[in-house]
Amino acid sequence: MAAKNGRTPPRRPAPDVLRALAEQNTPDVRKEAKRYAEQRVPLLRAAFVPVSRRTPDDLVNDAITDTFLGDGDPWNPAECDLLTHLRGMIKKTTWQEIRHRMLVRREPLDLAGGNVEDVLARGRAHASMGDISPIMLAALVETICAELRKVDFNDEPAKAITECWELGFVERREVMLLTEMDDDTYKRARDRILSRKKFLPPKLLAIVEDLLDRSA
Amino acid sequence: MSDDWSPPTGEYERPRIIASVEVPAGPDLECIEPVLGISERDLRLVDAFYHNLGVQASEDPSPPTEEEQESIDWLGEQFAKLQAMSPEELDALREERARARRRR
Repeated sequence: MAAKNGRTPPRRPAPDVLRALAEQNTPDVRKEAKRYAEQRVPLLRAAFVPVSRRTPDDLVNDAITDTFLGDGDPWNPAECDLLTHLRGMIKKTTWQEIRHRMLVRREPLDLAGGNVEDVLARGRAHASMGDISPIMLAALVETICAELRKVDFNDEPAKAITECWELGFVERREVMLLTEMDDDTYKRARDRILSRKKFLPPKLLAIVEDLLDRSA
Repeated sequence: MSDDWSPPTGEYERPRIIASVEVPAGPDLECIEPVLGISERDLRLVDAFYHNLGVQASEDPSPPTEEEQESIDWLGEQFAKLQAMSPEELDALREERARARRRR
């Protein structure tokens, strides 16, 4: 129903959601959410989203505030705990930022008429300004994908998980449902995939991570 | 008797894998960075990789560092401020955040 001024009244979370939020917003959950948010920063930076040392805190604070105000995806405490909800919101926000940046960047690239030399020249200009160039982003994506696709040919659980990820299914629950894996198999296979981080060229990761210091 | 000879890391287990998953068709699968060749599928894989690195990091049971403790306290203070706001102040905050989002 519209309010007197003709606007739709704001959607407020139900009292039991606010109660659950107050109960579950513990120091441990805030620590865990911050540690999650920190892992999104290199990806944001690689997609040209400005970041600083405050970014992980701001991402967590925004997710908590949105949950409290009832903005964004509503939280149903019966379906998942607060930490899972906050991680989901942070992932969604950062993913949208990355997509937005990619789409914004698409226009000048299209104007280049597919002239790769022009694009590379622009990329080098970005790099000289102390930013990650488009080449860097492409290199980051290509290198990580190549490494993740190097999983052991016989490692069916790991292959199944990366396939789910490519299709956009990233949460443990949905991956387990799709692959019919048990929790142990899932966790071990996921950890095997994540352990491939150590095989990524240190320079590539260092460049992304160093930018944090420069932008702080 | 169990004949489970799987190693502790479980490399040789054979779960059933995705029987039928409908892949979203259309622009979602377009190459979203046509010149540099970044596909939606690749970007999703990298996004999922970082998401799961984050999940793994958040599962780390080690106690907070000094810097993390400052963040935890700051986030707690921000939440306490939210809880203390009147309905009118919350509406104003909601409006302000909506405006900020539209400006981005």
